[in-house]
Amino acid sequence: MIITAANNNWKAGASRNNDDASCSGMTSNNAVSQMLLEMVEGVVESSMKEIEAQVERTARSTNIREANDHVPAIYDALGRSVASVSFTANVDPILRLWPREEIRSGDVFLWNHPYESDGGIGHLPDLCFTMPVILDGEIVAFVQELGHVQDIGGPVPGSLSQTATELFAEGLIVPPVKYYEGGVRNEAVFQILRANTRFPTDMEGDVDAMISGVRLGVERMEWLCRQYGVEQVKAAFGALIDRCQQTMLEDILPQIPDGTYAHEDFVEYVDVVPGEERSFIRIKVTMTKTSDRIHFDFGGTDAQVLGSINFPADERFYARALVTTFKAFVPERFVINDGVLGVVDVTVPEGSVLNPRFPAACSYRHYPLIRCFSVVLGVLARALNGGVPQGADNMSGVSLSGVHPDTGESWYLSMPLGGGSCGRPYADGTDTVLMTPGKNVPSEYAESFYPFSVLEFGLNPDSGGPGLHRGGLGYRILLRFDAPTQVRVRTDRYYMEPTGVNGGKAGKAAEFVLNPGGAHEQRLPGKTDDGRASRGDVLLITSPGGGGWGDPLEREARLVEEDVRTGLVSERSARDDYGVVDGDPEATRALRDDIRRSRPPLKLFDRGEMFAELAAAGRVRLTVADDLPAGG
Amino acid sequence: MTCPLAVEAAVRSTAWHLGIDAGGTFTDVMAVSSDGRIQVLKVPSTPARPVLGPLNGIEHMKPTLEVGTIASVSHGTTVGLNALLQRKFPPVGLIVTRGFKHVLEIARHTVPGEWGTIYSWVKPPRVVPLSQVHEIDERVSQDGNVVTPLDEASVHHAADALAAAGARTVAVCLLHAYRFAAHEQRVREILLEHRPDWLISLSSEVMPEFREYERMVTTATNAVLAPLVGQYFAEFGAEVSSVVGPDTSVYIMRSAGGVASPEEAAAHPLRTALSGPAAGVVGMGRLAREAGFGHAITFDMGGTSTDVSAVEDGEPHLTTDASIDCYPLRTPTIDLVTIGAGGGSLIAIGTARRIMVGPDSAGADPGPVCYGKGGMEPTLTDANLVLGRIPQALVGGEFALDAAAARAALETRAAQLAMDGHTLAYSAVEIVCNNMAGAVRQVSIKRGLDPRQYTLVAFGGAGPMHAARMAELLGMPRVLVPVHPGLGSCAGLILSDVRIDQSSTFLRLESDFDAGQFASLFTRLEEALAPNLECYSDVVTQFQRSVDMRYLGMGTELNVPAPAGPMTAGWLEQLVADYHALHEKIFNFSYRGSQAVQSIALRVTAVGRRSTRIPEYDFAHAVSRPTVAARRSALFNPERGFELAPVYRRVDLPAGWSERGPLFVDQYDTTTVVLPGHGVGVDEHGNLIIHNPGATA
Repeated sequence: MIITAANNNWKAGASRNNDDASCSGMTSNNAVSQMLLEMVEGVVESSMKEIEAQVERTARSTNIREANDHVPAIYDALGRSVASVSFTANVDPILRLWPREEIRSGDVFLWNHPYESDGGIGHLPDLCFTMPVILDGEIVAFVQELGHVQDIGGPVPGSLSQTATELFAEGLIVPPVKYYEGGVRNEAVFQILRANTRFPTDMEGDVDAMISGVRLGVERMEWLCRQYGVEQVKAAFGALIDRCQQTMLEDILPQIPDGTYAHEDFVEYVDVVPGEERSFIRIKVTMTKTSDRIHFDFGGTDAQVLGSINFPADERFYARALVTTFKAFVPERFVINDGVLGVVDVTVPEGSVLNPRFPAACSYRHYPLIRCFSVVLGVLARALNGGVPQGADNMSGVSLSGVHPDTGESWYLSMPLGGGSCGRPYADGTDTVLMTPGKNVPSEYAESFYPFSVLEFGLNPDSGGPGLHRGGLGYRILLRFDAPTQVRVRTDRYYMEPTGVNGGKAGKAAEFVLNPGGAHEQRLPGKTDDGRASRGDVLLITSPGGGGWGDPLEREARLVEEDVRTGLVSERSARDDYGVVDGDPEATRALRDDIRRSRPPLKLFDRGEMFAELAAAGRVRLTVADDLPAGG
Repeated sequence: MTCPLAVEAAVRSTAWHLGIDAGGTFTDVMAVSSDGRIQVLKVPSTPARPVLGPLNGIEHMKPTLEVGTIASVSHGTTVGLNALLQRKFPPVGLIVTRGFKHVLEIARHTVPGEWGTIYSWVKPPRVVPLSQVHEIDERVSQDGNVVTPLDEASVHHAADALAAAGARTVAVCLLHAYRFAAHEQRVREILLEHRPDWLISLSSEVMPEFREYERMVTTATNAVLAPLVGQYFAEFGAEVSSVVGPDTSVYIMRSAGGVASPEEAAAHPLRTALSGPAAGVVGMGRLAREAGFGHAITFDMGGTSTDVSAVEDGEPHLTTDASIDCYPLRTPTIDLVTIGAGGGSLIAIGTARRIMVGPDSAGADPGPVCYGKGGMEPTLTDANLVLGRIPQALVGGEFALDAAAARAALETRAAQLAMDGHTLAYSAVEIVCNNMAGAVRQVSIKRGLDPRQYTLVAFGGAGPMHAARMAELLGMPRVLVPVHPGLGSCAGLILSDVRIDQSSTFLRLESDFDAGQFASLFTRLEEALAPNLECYSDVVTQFQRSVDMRYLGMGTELNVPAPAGPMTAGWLEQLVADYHALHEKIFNFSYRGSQAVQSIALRVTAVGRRSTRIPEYDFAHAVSRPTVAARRSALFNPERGFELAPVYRRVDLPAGWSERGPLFVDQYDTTTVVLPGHGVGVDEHGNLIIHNPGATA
């Protein structure tokens, strides 16, 4: 084990001059390495924070500076991720394409090509910058920043098109290149980047911000090596990976019963691309758990689609990402790095939406990724009789663009929208949370720079699925446009609700309606690139609520009454779903008894009424039995 | 022997200046006189009625002052900080524009931490519960025009509901109130008609800047602190005046590192949330400057936490982007990084045999195992004791420590890792120093400061024990340990200037800058401040003007001091040039000549310079050739093993003394650890200066 190598090298001969017998254990291998490990991990993690801060403070686009859609990473010389970041790219293209001796200090590698990124990049706006850390001629580490720039060309402002049918239509493709060679920028690459974006100033600012962040990280790693020695640091990186694996093996795996479990869910794909007949794309996983391994087999997942919801990632990416669902199993901070690869295997069928063939379009590749989380949480619920949190189906968003009437200039704003997360065995779900670190757009900020007013920015009553622990609420937002505006809706859980678990009911699906209740009311599709609003139009935006967890009749009446008072739950839902009559414990008890007697047995999964209708109409079909009883 | 010092003008008799720092357990009092005397004492804090601690302190101090008058009393407190940390809030209401009652619930819709935390994270309680948030009908546009007039009936309705709910304090945060405050002001009038005793916080006064969540949470936090902190300061001012007389100036330390009158402090309770920690930074920064080290990083390590901050030429760096616990704090605050580790931090074993030091702490009760008060879990202090780095008895020998118990506890814990107790102890100290070094990097490097050019000023009970190792890790050239490491905050209280500030949002593109408009807005801000300055007749006041600026479209503003001279076109050019230069300094690049700059806000700070000084150290007990008081077997480095290191008594050391480590300097309330190979000396002010031979710059 690498951990031993680390110790043997640490201050060789440490006890040689030691006359004091009480100190004889000081050179114990395990001992010193634990200390060195904490130090190296401390510097790695604080460097990650410093890089993030540096990028956010200097970046230009709303995407990066307000929504923080970027992520740093640190890899060892072998290209293994050693920092606590589960959702990141890799450095394999560098290792594959450049001989080691051609990788030099001051080089900045750049790429965004999803099919040349060894599964690390999902779509073109994610520009990936990497620098090597080289000491005494030896590569010790790589530092990387992956950031979603505002625009990289393509058919629509912001580049992300749901209707693009191949990669070439989605924007500028950059294969792995040296953007800086020995500290000198390749001006041609810079000019090509600038020429291929609608917002060149944003691009320049974002790129410089990311590179300055990477440089900071490189300085930090160089310091680390000088402080503790290259060999120590290399060994410690290996030990950090071992430690992640050890946590998986010793603390997480024992909590999951051995066995094979399968679950499936769907990405919505209704009327997105003409000529695509499928409306619901199946994501299916079969988890086989043994004492020392977990295998996620995505066999049975649907084939890639014409439109842009394909995710060209690889097994390693999926393994790191999916393990984040295990975080609730360990009480303290769990650093997920490449150590999970020794425990978790992933199989994704080639040609599926999770492993498409070049040049499938992939702008909106995160929809299937989120459904991967849903199905993994689903198999865990099956394995643990419902005793786990469920999904947070919340990477909705809306993109708005047009020409500003005051300045005559084009504007573009992407508003990320969190949704409610599912109730947990120990707590209600959280309102309006987003899977990524992206922040919402302040209304005062939006109104100051863009031609629309925010009439309402709140929570959507009754959107959280009823349960012993209620699902979190989704957004309810009302905008009024002061100029013609193009509206791009991008949400899932629009045609079927987020799942309720262990007797909890499904949450409410998302909805986008122009001029609700008005003469020109128009329900927009859940995924569209060409919603059009005129001056004076009002747009209602709601994001999905989380599913409930546990029997709603078991929820404390006091909590239901509080939700009714604050308007988060309607009186009707309090009565029908929770059996609560406000302020009348006697009536509540009677009503709850009544409901209990007449209802069907509680189910492990409640996929909601919209799903039931789709299933009844034959538009979706489950291949794994889903009608399981709640676990209690 | 007393040394002369600059005597304040027009002081006829001896004038005493008191600094009172009230912490969670003890209240420290320092008195310095205009003729160079200094007195210090410690009394228990009184959490049940916080004002009693300081009053007791003054009562005990008065007899020792002999002749003379008390010219000023300056106070730092953790009353506000503790309320926030313990989330002990009074009944509070919040009034918002219709359509925005969920803004506090939603916040910025983010989950702290990494992917996957979304499943486990539970949202902490909001400052104002949703049931006490009320919407009123009104609407103002982003350019400050009224779109919907204020519907007063809706305000009355909200007031009735809040009165029925027993609210004591009310926050008002209406959309775009940073541009247009009249609606909020009218709402306050109506609320006070209902309940004249309500304390009202208006967002247009607490933080007149855009981004509604940040302004709303800041205003709401101000509101919950108002009854507690506001009334505390009012009470403090009145009680202290009654004890020391009406001619004494009474000051309260605020988070931005300046003092203000109790009335001013009570009016802006949130601005005193970091009162206590700020005093320490100011005091130690000044002291370092006096010692000839303008660039200082202050390192205050106590029992449960550690505060780190950077100081430039005696002046702390400020930020408007701080937070306490989960609550953002958008008022000017000393840029401080707090780490949840101190002497009482527990040494625990986590998953995958991870060694963890803190954030869980044994606190003051039961405290470390070696205190013998029932603590069973080993702490950092126990580790230091087992390594021989602290004496077997504390507080000048009065308080014996149980080394055997500490060792046993560490051995037990270490057995879980199949290592021995000493190894665990050594590892724990190293891990903590490394984490602290990370905090120092956060306050320095992110601001473009290179710690290798800074002096580490170590104070608090545990600071001087760990500082030398941190200097090594960071490549810092030296450590300064002041004469009274436990009384850093008191010194800061006595030395602090009066600072009162005012700001206003001013969104303008560089191409639209108008010098006359800047001048008139600055004048207006200064006029708004003027009435608040009347009570500081004893200090000389000057205004400092500055502009928050950024590149158009960037998310972070930099605060640029206004150039000197009349506000002309040339002044505007200089302002923009200064912004580019500052950007370059902090971020290593700028867009001079290629990208447009935008102003975000104008700020004015009224600074009243006080003429107080800390008297020169009195080397009364120093001896010309200090002898080794004892020798301790200690472990500094596993390579060297345990070795006998000399122990010196701090009071023995004369100016100019120097020696080479390993050695210890023990004093009443702390021990300074000088590592092997480090030089140590005493300067003319009595400061211990440790030289790190490995410093790289």
